[in-house]
Amino acid sequence: MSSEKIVEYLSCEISNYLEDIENNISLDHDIFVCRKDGVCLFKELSENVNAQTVGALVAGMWQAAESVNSINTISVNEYMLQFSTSQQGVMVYPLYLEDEIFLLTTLFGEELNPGKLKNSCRKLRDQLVNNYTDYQQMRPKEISNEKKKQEFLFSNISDKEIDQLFSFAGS
Amino acid sequence: MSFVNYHSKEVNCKIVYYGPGLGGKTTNIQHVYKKTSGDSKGKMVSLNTDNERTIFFDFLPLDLGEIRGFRTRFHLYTVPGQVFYESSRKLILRGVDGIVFVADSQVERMEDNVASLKSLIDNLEDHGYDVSTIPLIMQWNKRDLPNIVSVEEMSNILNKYDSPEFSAQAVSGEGVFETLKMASKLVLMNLKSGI
Ligand SMILES: Nc1nc2c(ncn2[C@@H]2O[C@H](COP(=O)(O)OP(=O)(O)OP(=O)(O)O)[C@@H](O)[C@H]2O)c(=O)[nH]1
Ligand SMILES: [Mg+2]
Repeated sequence: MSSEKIVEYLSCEISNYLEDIENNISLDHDIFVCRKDGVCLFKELSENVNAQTVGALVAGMWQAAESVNSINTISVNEYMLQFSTSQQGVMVYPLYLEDEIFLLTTLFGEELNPGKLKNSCRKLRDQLVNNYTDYQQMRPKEISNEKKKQEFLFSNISDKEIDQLFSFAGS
Repeated sequence: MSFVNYHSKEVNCKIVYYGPGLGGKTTNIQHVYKKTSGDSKGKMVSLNTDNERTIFFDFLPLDLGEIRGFRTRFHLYTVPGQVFYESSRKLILRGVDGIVFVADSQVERMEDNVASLKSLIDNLEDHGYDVSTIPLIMQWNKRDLPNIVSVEEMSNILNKYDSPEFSAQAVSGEGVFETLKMASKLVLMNLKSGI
């Protein structure tokens, strides 16, 4: 599973591109990256925005839009999703890493120039895709496990352990 | 598809409540939401019609604290039960780690239970799941109502995979946590480790 690598990549790298004058990127809004199932991999969100909620909603929106569009044959690469007024809204760009789509989301308000913002989001996405290979090469090689064992993470979980997890429910 | 992050020692899992319209899926997770307190409490999101029928999904994130050093997060989803929303149901099943099938115990709802179970199996197969190995819990809901099918018969007709089953009365909360705890246990025990 590559998600963990992506989390590491985004947390190391994304901040380098949020203000990137050379590439004409300027983003000071809420930024969020999740998997297609809504699990959050990166967030830079205002305090009142809940990452899990945004993840579930953005993933749902994206998947619904994708299905609506599935009658078309245009490459998915070309799509982005936007719901906005001239000042505020949400933009989602697909980010392809490791043959998987991740959803790069910007939530914005009081934006004077959404056109420019859109451009920034797209360029940020492009930067993240372009630099991923370099990042991979620079990163220390993983010690390759000869046998890639797939075992269960937890075995024999007891009812008591489950009760503890649910102790909040006062059952 | 669960997400196990070894660096931050976190696991994320997705549980979907499936079943016929008006069977009580939303009521199940509303009860969980009501009973959740403090740090575990996330925001519940409901995408529904004006008369409270689910139109896309309900979503409740649960932060359950630690098990064996791993912080555990569950994402609970319900699907819309109305026949019309088949394509939405299919979308929501994507990446599922465990399923609670909420059946309506009323005699007149048995046909809908059967149809919904069939749709679940078809959709899972379309997503490439092996239905016999994915954690599945059966819940016989609305046991408080008068005209209901016996538990034995429900089991005979609907429990094809010999899944754990629970009687429930989601409006009063009876059986809700028993069902969810079993689902959580099976999902956690089904998580694969290894890089
Ligand atoms: N008597 C009784 N009513 C119940 C029970 N559980 C749920 N209900 C009621 O059944 C109705 C439908 O419940 P929901 O939870 O909205 O059903 P749902 O499965 O989410 O329905 P959809 O969103 O259309 O798929 C509501 O009026 C509930 O109060 C129960 O155990 N007993
Ligand atoms: Mg519902």
